[in-house]
Amino acid sequence: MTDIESPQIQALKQRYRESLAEKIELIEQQINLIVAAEADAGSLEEAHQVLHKLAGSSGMYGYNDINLLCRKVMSGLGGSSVDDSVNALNQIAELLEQYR
Amino acid sequence: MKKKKICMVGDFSVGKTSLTQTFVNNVFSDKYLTTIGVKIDTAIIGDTKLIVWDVAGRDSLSPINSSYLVGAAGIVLVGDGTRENTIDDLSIIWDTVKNRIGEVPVVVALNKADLYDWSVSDQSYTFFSEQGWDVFSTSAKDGRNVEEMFQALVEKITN
Amino acid sequence: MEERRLQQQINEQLFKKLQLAYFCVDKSMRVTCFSKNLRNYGYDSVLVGAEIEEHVDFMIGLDAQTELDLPMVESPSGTPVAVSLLPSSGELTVLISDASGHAEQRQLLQQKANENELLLEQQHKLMGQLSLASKELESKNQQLEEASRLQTSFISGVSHEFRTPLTSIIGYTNLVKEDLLLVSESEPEVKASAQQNSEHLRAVQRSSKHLLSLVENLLDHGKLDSNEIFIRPKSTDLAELFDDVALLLKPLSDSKNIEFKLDIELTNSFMAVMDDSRLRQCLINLVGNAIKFTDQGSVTLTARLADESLTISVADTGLGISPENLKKIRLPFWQAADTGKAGTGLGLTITERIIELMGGDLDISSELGKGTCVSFEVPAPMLLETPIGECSTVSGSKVLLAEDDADIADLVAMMMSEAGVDVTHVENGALAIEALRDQPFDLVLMDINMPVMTGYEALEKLQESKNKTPVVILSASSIEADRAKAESLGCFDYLVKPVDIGDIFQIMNRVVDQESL
Repeated sequence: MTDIESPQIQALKQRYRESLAEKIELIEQQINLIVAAEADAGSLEEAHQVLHKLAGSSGMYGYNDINLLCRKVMSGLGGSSVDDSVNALNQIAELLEQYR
Repeated sequence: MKKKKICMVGDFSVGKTSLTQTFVNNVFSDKYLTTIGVKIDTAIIGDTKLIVWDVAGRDSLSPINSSYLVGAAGIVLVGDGTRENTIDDLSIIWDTVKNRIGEVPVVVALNKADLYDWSVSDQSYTFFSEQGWDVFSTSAKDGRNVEEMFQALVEKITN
Repeated sequence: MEERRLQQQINEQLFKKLQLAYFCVDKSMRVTCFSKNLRNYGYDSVLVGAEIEEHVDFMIGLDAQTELDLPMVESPSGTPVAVSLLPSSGELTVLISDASGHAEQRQLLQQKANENELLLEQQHKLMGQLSLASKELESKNQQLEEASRLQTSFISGVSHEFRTPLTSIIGYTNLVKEDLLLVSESEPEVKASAQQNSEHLRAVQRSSKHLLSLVENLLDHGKLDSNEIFIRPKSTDLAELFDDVALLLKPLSDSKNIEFKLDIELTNSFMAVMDDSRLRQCLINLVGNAIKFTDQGSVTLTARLADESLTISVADTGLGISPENLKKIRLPFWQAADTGKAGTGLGLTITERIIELMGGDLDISSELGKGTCVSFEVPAPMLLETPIGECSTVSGSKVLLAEDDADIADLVAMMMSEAGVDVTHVENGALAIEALRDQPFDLVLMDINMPVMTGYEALEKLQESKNKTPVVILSASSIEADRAKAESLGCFDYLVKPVDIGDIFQIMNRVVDQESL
């Protein structure tokens, strides 16, 4: 509904884009945690939280592919092996990297 | 031959006339024809000539017209087994009878036993047995218990 | 003696004149005298000196002292007579007069009166039976309603319990299938067995999906029964919706080798305010049914949008429905016995109820062997594109935003304040409760997943404190159970992130509309 974005909104979007680096870092932390803890319930729960947040905000900022991927990975977490979880998280990190 | 007067009393349309006609003449009519005053019929049971006073239902209920009862040796209290109020009224009618001619032998005929919607309460049966009355479920239509009922009354009177 | 005879002669003359008959008896009830006209009434054997009981029936049981009036007695001749017994100085005189004059009239009146009373009695009795029967029916009805309520809540409970494990069966099967695919690509020697396993998994998945759809139908049916399904209209792209439905069902029609035709005409705008997910559910169900019961020929989905009204029809060239089955087809759990098609028998019932909730009526016409056509028409109001900034209801209103993610909060707050909304932002549920205690807001936008106090807890607190401010949940979860939980806690609406800011404004307009009612 908003075709023309105000400078303020554009600024927020810019800020979000700039925060992607932070978000990649956060995901890498999660990867390390999962590997270290061999994907125990606690570390997976935390990763889930991170993805939940990322899914919400990325969607709001128009990154529909990130939103979708986060959702897909979230539903698979816990049901797959450490490698799979790590692979999935890496996939997200890679996607984020593209938008930097 | 001994002659005994008995009175058929009870609410209107319970079948007093029908019971009398079934007993005396062995005829039954489904048509309702209300009796005015008294019809007197005779029948013979054993060595007794029974004079049956078929008293109009309206008059059974009225103490003023209880003159018909004078001289009766026995009473048939007739109720309609399908109309509870006619059975409840029997105790009131009995009070009228008692006041006029004292305690005489009684039988109870609960008529229309051929119909399906029989509605006689347990209290009614209890009341009748407390009074020491013989109760007959009769049907003027198919004749069940009609002779037995009159027979029982005659036995009570002659003993 | 002479005097007495004279008196008797006078009496006899008098009685004759009055048409009176009489007889006299002494103490021993023997006849002393009688009038000749006594035989007019059938008492023709009376003789002086005879015992009266032998000749006159009504004298039986009476004695010479009895004073008595018998107003109406049937005499042996059949004529009703009035009888008076008058005792005097040991003798009894009995007078008999003709009473036939007013007997006839009395008989008529009495007959009528008695018949009337009998009718009244009968009426009374019938009314009694009727009220008894209706009371019985009422209590039976209550029992049935209670049983049905229990059954519904049982089915809902069980279905809900089934859904979670089923979803995870489907999810994990998917993962295993993907793993197998990877394995077979990297290790060709196990390819054959991997392929076979993958076939088996597909069967598992098919069955699970079927089970899940049955469970979901049962859940929906239960919710419809307890009025827990709501229509949530929002701006809907109808063209996209029909494309979706076609995309989804095309494989099904292809697999049966039947043609799936779309005939869509959306004049003016194709944006309408409708509940897209419920409409989609109905379309999938009706088209799915049509394909299911058609073995050759085609299924045609026709849609017309005109005058803010959407007309849909689904026509097939399938088996058709016999007239007697057409009567039963809308009953829940009913299934045609002779078609051998599986299902819950709930799809059509649910679809019909949802269409009713949307304001339409489902019409079904069918001819056995020729095919079936189902159609309905529902209101489809056009979306009014009002520039947000000019929207008076939105501009100037006060909104509390409870959201812990700064990225989302800042963006929503910014977009709203650009539309003239006065936004206050807090980071969790507890702060939101505090803010609501301090000042009034027109609307609360609330995230679920927040530190300190979640959105659910905040909703609960607001319910306890009887705060009536409408709360719109912004959740990242599209799971129906989460929505149901929020709704049970009294939220005004539930939006799934990513949230379209236009949806929020629409909701705000709805809030204003409701308040102005």
